[in-house]
Amino acid sequence: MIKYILRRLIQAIPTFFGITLLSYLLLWLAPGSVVERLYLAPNIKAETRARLAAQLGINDPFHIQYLRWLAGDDWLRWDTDGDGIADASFTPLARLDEDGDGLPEPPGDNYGILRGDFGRSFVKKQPVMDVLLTNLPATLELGIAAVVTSLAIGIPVGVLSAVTQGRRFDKVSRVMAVIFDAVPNFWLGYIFIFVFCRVFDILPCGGRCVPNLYGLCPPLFERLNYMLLPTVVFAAGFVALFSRYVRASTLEVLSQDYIRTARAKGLSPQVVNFRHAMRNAMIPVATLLGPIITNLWAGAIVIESVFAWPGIGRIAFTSAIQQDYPVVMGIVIFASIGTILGFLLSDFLYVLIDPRIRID
Amino acid sequence: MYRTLRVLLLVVFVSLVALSASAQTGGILIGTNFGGDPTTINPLLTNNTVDLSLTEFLFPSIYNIDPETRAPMKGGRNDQDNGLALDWSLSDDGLTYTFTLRDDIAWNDGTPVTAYDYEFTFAALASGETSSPRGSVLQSVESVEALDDTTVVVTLKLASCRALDELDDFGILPKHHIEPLIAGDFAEMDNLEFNKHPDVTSGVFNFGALVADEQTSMIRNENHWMPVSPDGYIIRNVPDQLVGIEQFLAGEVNSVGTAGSASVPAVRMQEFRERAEAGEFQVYEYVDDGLTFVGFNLADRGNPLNGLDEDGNPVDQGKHQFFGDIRVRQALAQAVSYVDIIEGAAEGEGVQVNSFGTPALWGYDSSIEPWEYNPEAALALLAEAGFVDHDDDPGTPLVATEDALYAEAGTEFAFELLTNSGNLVREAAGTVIQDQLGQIGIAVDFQTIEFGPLVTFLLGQDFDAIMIGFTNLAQDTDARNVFTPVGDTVGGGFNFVSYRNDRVTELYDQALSLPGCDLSERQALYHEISQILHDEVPWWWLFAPFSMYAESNEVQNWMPYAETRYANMANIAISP
Repeated sequence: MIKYILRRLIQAIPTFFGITLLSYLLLWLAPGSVVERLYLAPNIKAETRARLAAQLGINDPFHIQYLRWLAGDDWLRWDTDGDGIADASFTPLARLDEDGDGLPEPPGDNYGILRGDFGRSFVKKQPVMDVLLTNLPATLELGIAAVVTSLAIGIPVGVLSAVTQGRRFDKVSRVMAVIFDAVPNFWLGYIFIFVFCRVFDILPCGGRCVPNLYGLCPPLFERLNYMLLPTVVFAAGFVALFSRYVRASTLEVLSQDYIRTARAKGLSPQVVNFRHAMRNAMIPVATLLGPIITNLWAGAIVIESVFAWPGIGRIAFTSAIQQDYPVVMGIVIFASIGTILGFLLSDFLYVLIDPRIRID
Repeated sequence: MYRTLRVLLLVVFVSLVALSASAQTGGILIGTNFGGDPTTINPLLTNNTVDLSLTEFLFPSIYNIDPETRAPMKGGRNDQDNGLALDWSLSDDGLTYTFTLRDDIAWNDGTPVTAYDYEFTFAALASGETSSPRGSVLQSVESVEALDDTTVVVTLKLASCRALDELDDFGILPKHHIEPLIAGDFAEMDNLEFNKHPDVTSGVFNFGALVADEQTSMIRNENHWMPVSPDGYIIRNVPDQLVGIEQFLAGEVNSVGTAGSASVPAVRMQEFRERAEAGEFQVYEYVDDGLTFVGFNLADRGNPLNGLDEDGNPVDQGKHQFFGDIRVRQALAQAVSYVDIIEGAAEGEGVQVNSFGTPALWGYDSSIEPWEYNPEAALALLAEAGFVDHDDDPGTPLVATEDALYAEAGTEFAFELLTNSGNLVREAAGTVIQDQLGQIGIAVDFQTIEFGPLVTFLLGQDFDAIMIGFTNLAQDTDARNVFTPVGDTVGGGFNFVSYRNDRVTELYDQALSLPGCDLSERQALYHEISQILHDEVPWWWLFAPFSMYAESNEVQNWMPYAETRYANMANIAISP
């Protein structure tokens, strides 16, 4: 198993670099810049914007920006003529002594992603890792709650639909699954906010904690009311997905010989359905978990924006709009790692669910 | 005697009880912010309304602004204002301002706020090593020197009537606190923890906490020079305006928007107006200090050039095949119904503008008649300019004849109109323009594109026509960067339409350097500029939107003005 994991992780390395290269290229190709986003006004001189752009290095050639992000700029001098723009042909390891004090000046203080330095946010002027780690707990909190909720509802509903095939419960659950799968999250969010916050006034419209002067957020169990709506909306689509997969899988399993044998032996329907059938019907669920974790990142962008939930999705949205490359790339890395781990988790679950499966 | 005294004491007691009962104080004001977290709370580096919503209550400024006229004001109104200047004078040559500052304002650590703080803040700006976007101040200001704690002398590079406005363009930093942190290196200013958690401030509030993507809070400054009523001000970060409005209507927050933004969308204004009349909450409306317009590229789009060469001489930039001719621009100005645009696109929540600026600005000339919808006159002007309906089919575009000044004969009158996607008002206005110009034989390829590419086309002067908006225009309508060749630089200048009129340039110069800077005399100069800009239509003047503040009834003693939501923050109380 360890050998398998190592092999998968090694295989993931070129994929990972490919993702970063492609993502950085897409960001670089996007017209405009963070400086134009933030400092576009008649009273701000073009020279000021040019100076700010030079400080951030966003006018440098693509390969230099990418290498700087990847490998840092503490060992490379990009701007040999000191004009504020990196030269197209740089000289690695050529430490210049601009001030003539006999000592080479380190060109920059960025160590690059390969040495664990995610860089600094252009907009927030903070280390990217700080920005992401500040919001990560909120996203994990909501994401885990959504997945647990969707599993807790989706699997029993799927199994029950299968064992009651063609009856009222099955029909209703299938219709509901189609509806929740089809309805966009943001629309469902607006409706829930309107109904439960505005009309009935029983749940907060958004946010994660009660507003307070000192920025304190109580423990989770004291603010479950804030979690309820975003969790339900986030989980709705997953519930639909899980229930449909589990239903189809369970129907297939229920027609297997060993289930007939179990029934013939006189086992109760509950034991047959939930102990024998359900376990085997879980394999598609394990397959889904990898993509679901990937979808969590994408879904978080919508859910967190609608419910003012202070997670990574919010940062992803605003950073992309503001063209804050270091933060967007940080999120790309987080999401890539999450996706790779998600698929590894799927493989683990195969083994747990079906002892016949061996990973080698 | 004793009886009289007892009666007197009783009267005083009853009065005090009555006063204390009527003068409600305290409570926490909660607003909603749709613009993301503050990027910085350093008043030298701020550059958006979110940042300014905080710094205006945390840092002192060189003088107060009259909320009614938005003009610099000596002394103060004896409420929350943090302006330091009691008085100032301008030397006869117009090159030196001498300010006399108050001596009774202190930072929250007890250190007095002095002229040296202002001098230090300016030095940081002048160093050019910070990311402050306020470098334009250095165009007119030579130096700032503190003579003593309460006297500061500002020397200008040239006599400029805008200089006084610019001197208040940034809040004042606590020198005694920041100087040791940066150790003489102003470049370090950008990296200070202070920028996120300013611990030494001098305003109505002290800084509370910034919780990323959730809220920012400020707490009553108990040591402020005057008593402060509210316990604090929390700004909740709500990215979705629709949800923010629901929070307001559900009573979770006290206001839609923050101190720096109104934020009731045009589509909800009528509803809010009616509900406010029914007593559900309070609203305050005003004409915004921004406008929506279409910029015509007057120069050759195929070869964008700067307006001036390196020696400052005018450059022949060629002419746009359609918009290079003033008659075409004037025709277009009459070819569209402004009522349809304002009613159809802006929900009726705006007012047509006649030139640069809005009725909210003192330089705006409301007496100029705006362009009116007159398609017949438009067609006549287009015919005069050499664009005719050659096939008597209004469904096909007009074509250029030999009389057209810059378009080749036979060229169909078709152009590209761009605006930024996601702005529903502009998207709707563009559709109205496309439809109504189509009716007189002008084919408009209306495209909504993402803001980033739009800016690239705009500043690169690579467009036919672009619909955008300017917001937060300065009170002083000096727009030399927008309508003179100084601002006509490809890639960065704001005269992106390449407009040039030597009389306009001359008038801007006069208005800027007028001896004594008399407001009414300057106003007359700006009015003349406005008339020329109206007549020559370098921009297609559309409308200025209405803005609306909405505040819950819990907010007591609320005193709003246009662009100033809380003119008396120190006296506001929030009832439970």
